[in-house]
Amino acid sequence: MHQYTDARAMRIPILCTALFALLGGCTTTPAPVTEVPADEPAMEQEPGEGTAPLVEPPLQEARTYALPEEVPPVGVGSGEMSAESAAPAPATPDSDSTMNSPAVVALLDEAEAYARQGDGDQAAATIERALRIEPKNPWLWHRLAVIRMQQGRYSEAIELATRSSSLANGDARLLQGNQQVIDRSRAAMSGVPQG
Amino acid sequence: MATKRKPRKTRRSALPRTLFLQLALVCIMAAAAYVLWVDHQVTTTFTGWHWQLPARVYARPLELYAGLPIDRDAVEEEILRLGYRKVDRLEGPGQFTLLKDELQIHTRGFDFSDKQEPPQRCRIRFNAGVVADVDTLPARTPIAILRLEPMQIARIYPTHNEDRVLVRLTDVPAEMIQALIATEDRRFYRHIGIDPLGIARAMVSNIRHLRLDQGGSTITQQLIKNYHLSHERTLVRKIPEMAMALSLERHYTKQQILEAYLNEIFLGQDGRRAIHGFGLASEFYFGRPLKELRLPEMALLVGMAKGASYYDPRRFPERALARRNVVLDQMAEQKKITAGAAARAKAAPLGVIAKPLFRRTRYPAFVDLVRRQLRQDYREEDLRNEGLQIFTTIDPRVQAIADESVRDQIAALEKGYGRLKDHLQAAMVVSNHQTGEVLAIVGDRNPAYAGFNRALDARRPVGSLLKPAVYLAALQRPETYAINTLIADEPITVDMHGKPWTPGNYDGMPHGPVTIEDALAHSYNLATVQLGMSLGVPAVVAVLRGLGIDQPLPEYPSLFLGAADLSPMEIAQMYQTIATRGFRTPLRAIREVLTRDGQRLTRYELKTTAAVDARAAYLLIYLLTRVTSEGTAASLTRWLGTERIVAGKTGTTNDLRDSWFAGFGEDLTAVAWIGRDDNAPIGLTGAQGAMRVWGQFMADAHVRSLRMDPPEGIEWRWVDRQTGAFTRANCAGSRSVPFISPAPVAGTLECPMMSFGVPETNYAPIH
Repeated sequence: MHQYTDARAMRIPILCTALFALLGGCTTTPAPVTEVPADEPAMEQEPGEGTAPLVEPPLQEARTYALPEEVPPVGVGSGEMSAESAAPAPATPDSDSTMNSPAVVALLDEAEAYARQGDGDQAAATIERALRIEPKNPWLWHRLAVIRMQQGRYSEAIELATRSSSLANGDARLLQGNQQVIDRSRAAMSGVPQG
Repeated sequence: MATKRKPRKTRRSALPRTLFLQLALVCIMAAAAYVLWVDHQVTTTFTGWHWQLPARVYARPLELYAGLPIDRDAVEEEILRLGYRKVDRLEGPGQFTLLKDELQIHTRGFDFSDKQEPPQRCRIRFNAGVVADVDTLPARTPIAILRLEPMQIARIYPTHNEDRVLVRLTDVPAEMIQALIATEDRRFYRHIGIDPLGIARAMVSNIRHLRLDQGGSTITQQLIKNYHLSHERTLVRKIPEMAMALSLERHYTKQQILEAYLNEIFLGQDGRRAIHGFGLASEFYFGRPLKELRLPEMALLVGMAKGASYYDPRRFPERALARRNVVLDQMAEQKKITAGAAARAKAAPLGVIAKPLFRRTRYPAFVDLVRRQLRQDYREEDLRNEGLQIFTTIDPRVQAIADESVRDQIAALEKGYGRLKDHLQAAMVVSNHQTGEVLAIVGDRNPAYAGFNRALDARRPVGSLLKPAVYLAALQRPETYAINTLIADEPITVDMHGKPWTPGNYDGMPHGPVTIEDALAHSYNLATVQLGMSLGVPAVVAVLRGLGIDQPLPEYPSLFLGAADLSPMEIAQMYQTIATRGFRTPLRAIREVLTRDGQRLTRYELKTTAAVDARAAYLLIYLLTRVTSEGTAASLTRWLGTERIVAGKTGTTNDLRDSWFAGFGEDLTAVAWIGRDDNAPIGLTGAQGAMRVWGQFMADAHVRSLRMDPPEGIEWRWVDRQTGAFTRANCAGSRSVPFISPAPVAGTLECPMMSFGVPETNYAPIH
């Protein structure tokens, strides 16, 4: 019992950390972990797993994923290369403008509020709304993975974390966070008694 | 309805008092039994007033936020579909005004399952086809995301075809209730269910005017009459009706009776659909919710309660107008409104919209898909009666563009190929591949037609649309195959269960050794079969399964060339999985289902499965961009120009019976099919038919250019585009192409001479 409440108390900072990671550059102060009372209902518990924060990216850097990625060496679709012309970057002018929009930040706030109330389904539904706006935002997929893991839906969590990583563009912290979701979900799945 | 009254028999002779008393007792008991029976009828019939309500099917709500690519005209179109009125100044919900690069709107608000969107006045500003900002009026508080109410696209009716929109008494304007009481039952709040004074007044009026049109029925009596669906006006019907009215008044409050009346009263007929209640009538005649009606409009609806067919404002506008004015006069006479207000209201036109906003299912092919998905989880009777709210994924803007693309291109094709007129059929499926949401479905060349749904049910040979699966199977073995690997486009004969099969190229010519890139870009059959044979049928079937094709597949080598009957929907699933770089997300047409009270019953969640190696999928997408830039679909530039990157594949079947195109940009996946229901040749290749529909659609839908940022584990190498040989950077006729790491070690890295020699080191094994 003691262990149970302990784990629960620690889950809040995890949620908050994830939240502030997601919010990225819209705040410059560290996550106010103490703001949330420890006895606040957290989401469904999964049996026996660690309490290490899933993702704690430095806040300034959490935002950098949204910056334009490196373009491939050669402009795909720009026709064959001649010796004279250097490869122009393919024009994708409209894709960066919607990354990390205020709408997505607002939806993440809402999702966090639902998560704190223990309503994982509603939190997930709200993340899905954000994903319709920024479908390739890897932090949203990560957040959804965490919610599913906390709901005990481990195989879904693993797939979602994998998808997040595929979009992470090498962001080490995000990759690490997803790996933790995968490891912990696998551990929980194998720890479930048979029959 | 057994009423037992035998009073006359008792008076016939001087029988002993006891007998008289006994008979009186029998009478009293019979009367009591009757009262109890009526009471029972009333309580069982009306308990809870659980109306049978049709299920309502909604489109996705439009969500407006800074950065959304949409222009002012598109938003205007959307809110006009929702029945908003354009005004000069905002005065209440359901109105909007247009300014330069700006739209002001007083929203209606809506109860979504996650939260309530309040009615509010907002301002949306646009800049170059993008929403610049959204804020409130007049405070100018920024709104991060403004969600409008969703448009209703269909209703699933109870078997008796009664339709209604439930209203609560608190939602009904006070003036409307005053109009109703002034006209139909002025002593409503004072009588006990029947109104002797009212009857007397009606009889006087009838005698004076020598006609039988005043019934003197109370609202309570009318409710009972309506509920029992009997409109005969006989005195015999009156007696049980009065008894039930008395009983109803004992069991329910005036407010409850009034609310029931407002929802029950018959107010029109629309084909087989019966319009019940003021809530639906308001939408049906004015295209707006009850709350937004003005005095003359309320008076019209109240007047129609007397006889909805006789006073139908669409068929008999003069009668309806006269009746409306009678209601207004009554109100003025009873001091419910001033004479001035009545005069102004009487001067107003009827204001009825020519056609109801919602008449029948707007998007039959899409709704068909929704119903199929619902049928897996719900019983038919619950769908029809329980007033479920079904929130779907359809995007009316995208659907309109899809409809138009099909219509335009079919018309253009038939103009160019006169002999085919009226025989071409078409289907289309559009999805957001990242979320798996189906945005539009076209099931017929006439999108409004509800019949055979080709998008779901027309399983036709898919031709070259399956080729990408063969190449994906190859690219998943990076130790053997890469984009520059040469394969032999040479004649081949394959044993198909004892029968030799000799495929040919579309142009009838073998092309010798070709790179994988060219083989797919130009859709060479021989090279594909050669490649497929070296991989084996099971490997290709496994890839198709991974991509989301669940249907049985004929496991023969002819599968490499698309000898499998699949529907556009199934192809959409396959290409969607490619578009997400190998993450399979089941196509969904429904987001969630709520009860009539907004309780969530089912959510259809976003799920995803890593099905294909992301690096191999990336290489395949690269190849499919080659198809559209220089291969069989190069003429797409006519619609999309040369800057925008899209990936796609043409499909043509034997004797030109089916014309297919499937592909995607950054945000949309679409599949188009053109053919004939009798399966006769249409004389069109994929590029000549379906690709045109696809091209117009993608252009009009402003598909976003594919972002080709590679996943982890991709390297780039310069190769000669003819021979596939590795070259130095920037050699003439060469380009940089992606490889799965570790890319093969390059050779001498010279710029090739003008020869087309075949480097043997890079020749794939053919078994």
